[in-house]
Amino acid sequence: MKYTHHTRFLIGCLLALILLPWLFHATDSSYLVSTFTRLIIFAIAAVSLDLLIGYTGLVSFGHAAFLGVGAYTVGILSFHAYEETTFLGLPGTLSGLTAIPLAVLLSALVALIIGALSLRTKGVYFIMITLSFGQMLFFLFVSLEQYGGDDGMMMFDGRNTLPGLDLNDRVEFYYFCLTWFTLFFLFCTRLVRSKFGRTLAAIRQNEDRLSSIGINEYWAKLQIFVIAGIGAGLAGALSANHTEFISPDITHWTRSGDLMIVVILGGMGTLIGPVLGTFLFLLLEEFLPLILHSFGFDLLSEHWRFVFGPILILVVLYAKSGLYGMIFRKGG
Amino acid sequence: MLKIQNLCKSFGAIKATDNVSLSIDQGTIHALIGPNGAGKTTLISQLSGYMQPNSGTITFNGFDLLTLPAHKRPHAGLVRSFQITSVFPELTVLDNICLVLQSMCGQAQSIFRMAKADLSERNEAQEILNRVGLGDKANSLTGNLSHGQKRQVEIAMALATKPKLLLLDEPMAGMGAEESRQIMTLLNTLRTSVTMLLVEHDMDVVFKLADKISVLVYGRVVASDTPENIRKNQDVQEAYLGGNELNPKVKRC
Amino acid sequence: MAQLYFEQLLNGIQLGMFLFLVSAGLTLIFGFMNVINLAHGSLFMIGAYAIALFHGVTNSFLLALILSLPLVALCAWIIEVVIISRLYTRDHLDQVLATFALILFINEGTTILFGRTPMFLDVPPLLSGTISLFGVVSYPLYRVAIIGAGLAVAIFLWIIIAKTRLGMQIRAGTTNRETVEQLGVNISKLNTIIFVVGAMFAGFAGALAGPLTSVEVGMGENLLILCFVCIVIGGIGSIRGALLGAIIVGVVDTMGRAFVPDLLVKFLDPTYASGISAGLSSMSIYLLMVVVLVVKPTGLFPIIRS
Repeated sequence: MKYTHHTRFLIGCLLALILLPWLFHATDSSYLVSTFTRLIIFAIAAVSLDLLIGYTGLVSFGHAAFLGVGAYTVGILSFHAYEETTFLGLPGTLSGLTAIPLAVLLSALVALIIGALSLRTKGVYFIMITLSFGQMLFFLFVSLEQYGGDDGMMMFDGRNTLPGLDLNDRVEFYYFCLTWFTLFFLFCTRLVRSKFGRTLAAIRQNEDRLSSIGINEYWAKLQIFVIAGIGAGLAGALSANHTEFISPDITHWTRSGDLMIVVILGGMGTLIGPVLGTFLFLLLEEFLPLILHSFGFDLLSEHWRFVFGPILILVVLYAKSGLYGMIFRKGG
Repeated sequence: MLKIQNLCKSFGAIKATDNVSLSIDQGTIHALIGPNGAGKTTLISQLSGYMQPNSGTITFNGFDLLTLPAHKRPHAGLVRSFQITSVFPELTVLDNICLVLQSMCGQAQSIFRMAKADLSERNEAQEILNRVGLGDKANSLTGNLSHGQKRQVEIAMALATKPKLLLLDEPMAGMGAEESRQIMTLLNTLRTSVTMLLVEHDMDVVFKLADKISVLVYGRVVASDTPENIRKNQDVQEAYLGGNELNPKVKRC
Repeated sequence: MAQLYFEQLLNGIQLGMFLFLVSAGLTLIFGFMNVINLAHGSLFMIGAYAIALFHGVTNSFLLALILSLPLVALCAWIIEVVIISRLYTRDHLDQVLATFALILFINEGTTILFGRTPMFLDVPPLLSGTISLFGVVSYPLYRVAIIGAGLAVAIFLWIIIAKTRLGMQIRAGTTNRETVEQLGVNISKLNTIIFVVGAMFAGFAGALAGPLTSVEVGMGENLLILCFVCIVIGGIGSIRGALLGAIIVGVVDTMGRAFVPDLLVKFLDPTYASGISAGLSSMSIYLLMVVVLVVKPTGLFPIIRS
């Protein structure tokens, strides 16, 4: 009963997302396609973080690092393609068939290294060490002066190229991202219901017990850390393509904080939750100022975080099951 | 089967395991008794790899156990149960057992096998639950069980690994009389196939089940003999009747 | 050259003192209450804004400093009673999120009150100028004063923790919380005291930092992350660890920034060297932390909980 309820909701959402560009076209508000592309990209990263926080109980505070790795891979390749120079002897490229897989691969590699080191620690040490790794990459990107340092760089040649698809077209790019989102979401749905998913649940509930039943929890955690890194790397690569601009801001620690907020806001330990959370968060970011403005709170509309902060505290303190809980738990 | 030689482990000034040598023979139930704080759980933890001893050796079926990380020991046939109930509360009872089964066949990290779709695994898990008397609780959340029932899950999890040597740390602690009797019968039927090291406070259980009893006091083995001889042993009498309560407890979990 | 090294070493220690003042509260709060407080950096910022504000009114640095501390304490008290006290029994994730949200609120509130333009503060006339140290190097007096203030706080804390009844309760509570509760100590009052005192150290550091940096929104967060590195290196919950961690981080960071570029130029093509060295010197402390954690996953002076 519960699953059909779920599945119906998911199919409904997917249909709505597929039809969205038409709706916007019909209402003459096509610019909103771009807003929703951003939502979908951010949702991929949020879902991947939830695999760690919600499903495995690993509070990673440096998830934006992988967004950065994905984005900078695409950006640096595009930069060298534009300049017609080489990077470590390799030519740049704008081809999506090279750039996006490479971005994902490098994110996985970085996640493997960061994970291998951070997962030696537990609890609050893990939170802090992932935070520090995030900062480390942030400063690394800041120091890349060739690629704009602090200010970042533009993708002057536009988005990646793919055979048969024009990513520079707003609507085509939207569908491209939606496809990736759907694939990643389905993959995660399968993952959390797999035997590995059960192992992850066990890690979250009683980590110390695992070795006594013959499970190497370090490897299991490393594996999910890399998978989550891949998700965020993918989101980073798409995000670079979306904005055609890459700067260290994408790895700033507050980005990691935003991702965590989104997961909690939507309801952690569910896959739909982070997606709902993303939509709520980014739509609030977009529209809360307007709403506050229309109610005459002009001062607050500019400083919407002043309102958002306390709301978030209330959610953390009193509504931990998030949006997901509000929508699904009522039905039982 | 298991041979412990000159094992030492200390926490600061406290010698929790003080030059312990023990051997456990295949096919026997070897009971380990002693007052609180004698270092029984500490010893189990070293055998199961949760703690590293300061010195000494442990060989299991002829190979050096200390080089084997904790998570590999169950695969070698050496499994422990916990004195303090340690289950996975948000999984169903059946899933707790399935988790062990998937681990034993090397599928703990399998992404492409659906957890609920493996019927043979589920049947096997159900079978094990029936044996410990939890058959009708298979689909309850483990966290909702009574304390005694969680103890039964604990034992079922250990059994699911198909152990050669089972380290049972006070398996009956906190169980009701009926459950206790059930587990005792179960252990008795298992004795032909599984070797056991049993830590237990209930002397009735110990003397009914054990082939051999070792007495641990302040980390030291003071006696190791057949139940009849232990009953007569002067040192053991003293250890149990002497003023233990006045001494500090160094209970470790 | 030796002079330069010495001067940079002093700069490193001085940075370390700031880090210590902020880390001390952070590590106490974590050690005693098991709360990870991201908003601790905001109290540093509040201290800096408070002194800028009061300095504008009184035109006296000392008076402004004296007035700032109660204001920081008041803010800390409100934060503790309204929010932090509800987080003691929660998991770290809730604490991280709630205090992250608190940062958003405080930063935005500060922007509303003071605007986005940074404020600047002069070094008090009494402490301006330089002092000759060991006849080797002339060093700004104000920075010497900061090092002195940091050391004074360290000694003060050591006396409190090692010699007083309060300190005994703190030590007991850090290693074994239940015992302290059973002994009938008023834990919630003790929590408030520790939080407010820890906050005042951060606020004090912020006030002292006023004349050295620009007072602006967000100044606390960058320092906060450095402080995390300090206490992770030192071992969470340990004051001694925080002091040592802070000095190590301060010195490594300063020395790294000062000397890595020169060093790399000697070995590498200058065009590469400049890029790499900028990255390497700002990453140096994080690399240091990674090394420490790989060798000792619970830091150099871990506290043992029973």
